[in-house]
Amino acid sequence: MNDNSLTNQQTDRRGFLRATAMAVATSLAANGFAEEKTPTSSTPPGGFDLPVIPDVTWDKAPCRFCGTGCHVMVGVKDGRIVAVTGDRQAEVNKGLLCVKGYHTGLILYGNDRLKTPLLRKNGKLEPVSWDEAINVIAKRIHGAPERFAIYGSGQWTIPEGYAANKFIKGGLSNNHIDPNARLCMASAVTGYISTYGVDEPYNCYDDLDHCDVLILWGNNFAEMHPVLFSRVVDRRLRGEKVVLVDLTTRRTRTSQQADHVMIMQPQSDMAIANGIARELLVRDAWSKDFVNKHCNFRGPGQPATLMGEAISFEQYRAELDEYTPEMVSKLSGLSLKQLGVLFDLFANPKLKITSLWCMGMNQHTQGTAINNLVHGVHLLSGHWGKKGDGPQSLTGQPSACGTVREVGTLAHALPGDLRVDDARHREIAEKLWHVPAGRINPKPGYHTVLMWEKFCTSSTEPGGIDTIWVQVTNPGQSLPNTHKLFDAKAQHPEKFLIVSDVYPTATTELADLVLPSAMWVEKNGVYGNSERRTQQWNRMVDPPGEARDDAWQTIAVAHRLMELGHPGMNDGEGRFLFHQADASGSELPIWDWATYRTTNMDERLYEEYRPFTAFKHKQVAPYQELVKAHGLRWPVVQSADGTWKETRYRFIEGEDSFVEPRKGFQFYHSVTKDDKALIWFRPYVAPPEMPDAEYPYWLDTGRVLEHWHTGTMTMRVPQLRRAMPGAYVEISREDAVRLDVKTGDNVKLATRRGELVITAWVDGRASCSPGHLFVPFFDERKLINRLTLDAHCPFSKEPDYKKCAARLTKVT
Amino acid sequence: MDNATPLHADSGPPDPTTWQRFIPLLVVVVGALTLVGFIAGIADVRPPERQSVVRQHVASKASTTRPARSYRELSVAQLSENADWHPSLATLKFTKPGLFEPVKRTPEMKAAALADRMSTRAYDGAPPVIPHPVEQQSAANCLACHRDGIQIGDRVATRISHPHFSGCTQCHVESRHSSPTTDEPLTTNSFAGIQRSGAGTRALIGLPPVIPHTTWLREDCLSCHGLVARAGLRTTHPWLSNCIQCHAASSDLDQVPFAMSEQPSP
Repeated sequence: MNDNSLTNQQTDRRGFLRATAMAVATSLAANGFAEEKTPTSSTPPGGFDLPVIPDVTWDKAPCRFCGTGCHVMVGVKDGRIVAVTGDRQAEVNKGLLCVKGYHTGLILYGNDRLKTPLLRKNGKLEPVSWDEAINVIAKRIHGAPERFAIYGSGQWTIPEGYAANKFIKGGLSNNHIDPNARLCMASAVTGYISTYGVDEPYNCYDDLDHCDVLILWGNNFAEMHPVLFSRVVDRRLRGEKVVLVDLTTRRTRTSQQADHVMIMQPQSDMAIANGIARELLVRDAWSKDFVNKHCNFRGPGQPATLMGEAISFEQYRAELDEYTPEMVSKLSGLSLKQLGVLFDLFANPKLKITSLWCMGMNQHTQGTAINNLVHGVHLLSGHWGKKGDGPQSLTGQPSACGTVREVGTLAHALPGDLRVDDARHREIAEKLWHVPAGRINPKPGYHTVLMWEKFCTSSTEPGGIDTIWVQVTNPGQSLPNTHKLFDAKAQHPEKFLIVSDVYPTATTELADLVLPSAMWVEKNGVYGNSERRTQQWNRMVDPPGEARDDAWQTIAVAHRLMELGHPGMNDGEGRFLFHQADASGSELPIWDWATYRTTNMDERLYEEYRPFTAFKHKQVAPYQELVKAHGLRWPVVQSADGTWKETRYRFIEGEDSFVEPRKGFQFYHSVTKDDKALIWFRPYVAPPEMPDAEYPYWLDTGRVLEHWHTGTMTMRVPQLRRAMPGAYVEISREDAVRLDVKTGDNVKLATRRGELVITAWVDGRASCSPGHLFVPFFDERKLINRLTLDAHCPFSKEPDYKKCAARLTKVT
Repeated sequence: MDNATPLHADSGPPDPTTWQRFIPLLVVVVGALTLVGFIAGIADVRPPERQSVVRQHVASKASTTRPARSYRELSVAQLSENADWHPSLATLKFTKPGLFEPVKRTPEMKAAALADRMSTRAYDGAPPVIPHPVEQQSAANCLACHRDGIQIGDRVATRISHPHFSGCTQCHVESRHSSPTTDEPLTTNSFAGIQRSGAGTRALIGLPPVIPHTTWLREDCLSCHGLVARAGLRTTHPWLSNCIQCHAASSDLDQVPFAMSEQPSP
């Protein structure tokens, strides 16, 4: 385990288990609290570690919130959640949680849970039966299937997303399905695909236990992924040295713990990455051996495209030439000394450097490019492929990886990283779905911003969208430029918005039909976290009132459409698209709620989906293996003895069983088909909107520790709400003095798209630099996204919520 | 005149008496400027700008915390007692009880201590919320009081029960926000969490009870049961410092986490 090179490790199942147990034991012992409790052999088999409290039963689940994928143990008594504790068997969080995780159980019990379907009649939402609600949807879709769209979520469970994807692409021959994850990690996807030829991180959280240096690229790690942050900084308490570099535009709680706080200008991350690459060449400190064997160089091409064009090393060097330290320093605001720190770190081959990023690099009008560049810096310097030494993106939603990236609930994708515009891929999907050849439409559907633009403009236009079904997300609060992309719906009475959710939200405000959903442990589920870990949980409590699973809602509508005669709802053999049979072979009426409830449809849908994952070597574990485990990282491959082995690192011999012997590293889905990764040059491009005389401030948006995304769940938890009850604008002391604004004053914040009166907080949760403002987006009474920009990355189509120009005036 | 030709390069150094003549004038000018500056300074009754920005909202809340006065304000401030003002420092001072002082503990005190403990928790096992404002940008200050524990008057800052995890604000949040926004709840919440798991069982009357709760994240017994702790939870025999010599962790409540059930024997 202490050998840093992964290439020679024996990692059979037993070895892995032993190694893991040893590692956990060692880390706990090093923590200094294990002395009286390291009895490994005397532990009784079976259940352990949870308090035996009368009538309380415990079961595992992944946390409902972020992409970290912590495991919790949920205590249930008399059909209600009564406690939550960190799962000490889970490798992700090792028994710890953050404050949101500890209070996850409370999210079920807000008193305004939606309990019955509501249909808008004469402008008012009125209760209707499920039967009527399903009828309304089916008729609406049947009228114009090509003008229907599904807007989904990285909080969908894998079976829910799979059912929706199959329903629309395999049933309606329509590809207008896109998730909120488009707003969240699409740039990471295009970054991985254009660098390695296949999506998702090759590495995992184990890096955090081994890195010597952690570089955070625009990531407030302490508040956004607190459990992982602790996993690194608590190493310092054990006497280990970890250098923390915080590349950021504002001084946060993360900065407080950092060795180097580098306050950079927005968008200058691109120049910094190019500057590092140039310096590695100038110092002749790049890893020639690794690069020659395993990498090709790539440029954007004219015009720039996602996959670009091959360039020579000389061209690469020439392109980088202008990114001198002086030029980078001028653009970024970092001093030459600060840049020198970065240069020295990457030029030192002895260090193990982990780079992490999340929304700072992804919500970026050059999101794909900056993802490419950070991968490139690691590949070029050879800081790649050793434990603790590599770049890794984080995600914000619990199943952005599982349900969006792996199940392919994107407008261009099919399950298993396949694409609708590839004839061979369509054929694979049609066979697995038992639908006739040609059923899948080859034209990619609308990405998120385009989908909502089409929905918010007149129906007379061709190619328009008239009906959107939203599941498990809140676009009325989270879409950028919401006046244009959401609120404008109100002016088009012919449009129809269906929303499946658990609470009233900014989105249900404009909904024509609201469906009450079951949430989290009220249903079975499978999530996939940021490190390729697939996690399963069981239903533990009943949903309130008439609330029902989202996957059931999709299947019930599909069945009603079949009854209405839609031909796409039959498979190639004339059976229902979601046909299920019982043990005797007769059809299970799973569109019937009672039958659905007593059938584990999760297992059936998941097992139907699982074969898709073989085509890109992303084999997810069998459902029953997931039941036993606390998450397994794919590819999960069966050994000769029948056991299933997870993979911590892909493309690395000895770790990844798909790498051929004696290759060392093998990028077996390489863009260039030669097993090599791509080192990209992408030029610095200025942001589309920058502060000027009229709008002189940079406006940044994001999250705070206590709240998760649009706050629909966390704002209903008293402990979290009391700690942070409303949104504010963070303003620098210098600007506050100049504008005579005090903490607590109301100010008017305006951009070219909208304005908002909001409370000022001078040097609050974090400190902005002069000329910069920050507003969290969790507060539904302060809809900051009415002000944000809908400009997006040309390849990933992900908008930039992190920078636009704003004006601030005092309200008197 | 000698001083009529100072600009000539070849005229040599100026006569020393030339500049010495200006010294009295310089003294007068500097003195006058100082006097004007001093008068202007003390005459400016506007509070300094820096202070005008800092934490004004604290004063506007019905808080027990009063904003600090500047030195200049002190001369005109009408200082008087407020509700929190104690006339005698002696009453605030807390003397840590000696190891052998008898500990008075009644069932009522214990119940009150447990109720107080639960008042900051959503359920038994949830991280307690912080009953006072905290520094927003750093957790470093927490340990100033909570590393060893401290008591002032009847207010106890218990010492950290899990010293190997020090990212306090990861799990603990303020019970009353420091942000300048107002708390207008949109809805209520009907969650009801488990309370404490009950008293520890004894094999026989007179034998030490087993620990009636998990010790996960509660490794330091003295955090709740030591000399600086809620009165109703304090141990009656603080001189015996090795708690687990006599009090066993309950196997029901506190088995270890990492022995995977499939773990192979060596």
